[in-house]
Order: sequence, then structure tokens, then C-alpha cells
Amino acid sequence: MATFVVDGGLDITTNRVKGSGTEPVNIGWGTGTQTTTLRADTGMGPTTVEKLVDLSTSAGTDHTVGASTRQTTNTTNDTYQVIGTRTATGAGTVTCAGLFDAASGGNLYLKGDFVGIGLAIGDAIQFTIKAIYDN
Amino acid sequence: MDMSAHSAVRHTIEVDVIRADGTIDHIGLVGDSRGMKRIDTLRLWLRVKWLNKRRTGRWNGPKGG
Repeated sequence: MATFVVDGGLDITTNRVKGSGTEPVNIGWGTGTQTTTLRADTGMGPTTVEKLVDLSTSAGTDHTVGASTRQTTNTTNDTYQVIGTRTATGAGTVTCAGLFDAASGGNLYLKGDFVGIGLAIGDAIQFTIKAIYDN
Repeated sequence: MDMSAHSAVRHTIEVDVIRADGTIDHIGLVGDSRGMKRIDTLRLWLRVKWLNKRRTGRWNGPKGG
């Protein structure tokens, strides 16, 4: 298991500091054989597949817009946090999740893989995703 | 003079599963860029597998998807 602001996420970060780009506030998820997240990843793959809220469908993307805030972990406002809930309209087992800078498609900012969480139709996962900047 | 700065970024993902009947299965931290203790990873694995079995009837969750 691993969780990273991926290489493309660093690009988004520096671009946002420059006052450009789009906030990576959109949550996506995927299913499939879990593989350890790599810094070079640009999507939910390679072995996991990004899925719609209907976990049986992999065509296209339908990210869930989360609510972003700044939080304090160690130092005032050192944490970028996104909270969002995705509800499964089709059953499946979620093995990874990530933040993107667009509601559909877009660029991957942060990704994590984890032990597969089984969801029946109507079940939901509330994600709390944090990037903590610390000297 | 090179005044480049390097700050570490820690990344975490926490999850709670909200079931269709409204009950909440708290799972908590599932990913941490600084790594997780082996005992915490084992505890997480056991809890999620048990929840999968109880909620979907299969240790690995529903077929498909």
C-alpha cells in the first residue's frame, strides 16, 4: 500500500502557487488487483481500473466533487484536506482512490491504494484525503 | 546563493463506509505516505476482510467491479 502526491500532483501544486491551474478537489476510485502506488502514476492503473460510481462500469470517469478546506496538523493551515462521499450504484470492491483536477478526466494529483473494500449497491465511502506540508 | 527549500509533504487517506441502510463502518486510515506500522496494517486488513464477509458475503467483496 502507498499514498502519494504523484509527480503530476507536484506539477499541479507549483502551478497553483503561481495562481494558475484548477483545484484537485475531485475524487475518483478504482477496482482491480491492488498494486502499490508509484510516484509516476497518472491514473488509477496499471492493474486497477478507474470506475464510475457504478463499480461494474469502467467507461469514462465521473469524479465526485469534494469539499476542500485548510486544516492544522502541526502548524497553522499546513494541511490541504478534501472530504467527499461516493455512493456505489453498482456493487464492487474498491482498491484505490485519487484526487483529480477535473470532474471528468483531468490530471491526477494524489493517489492511494489499499486493501479492497467491498461495497454493495447503495453503500458509500466517505473519503478524507490530506496533503500535509511540513518543514 | 542557492536558497532552494525542500519541504516534505505527508499524504493520508482515511475512509468511512456508509452502508445503504445508513449504518457507518468506521475504517479510518488506509494510506499514509510515511508508512504504517505492521500491526496497524494487519489490523486494517483483518477489519476490512471481516466487514467484506459480513456485508457482502465474500472475504474479497462482491464479484465483478
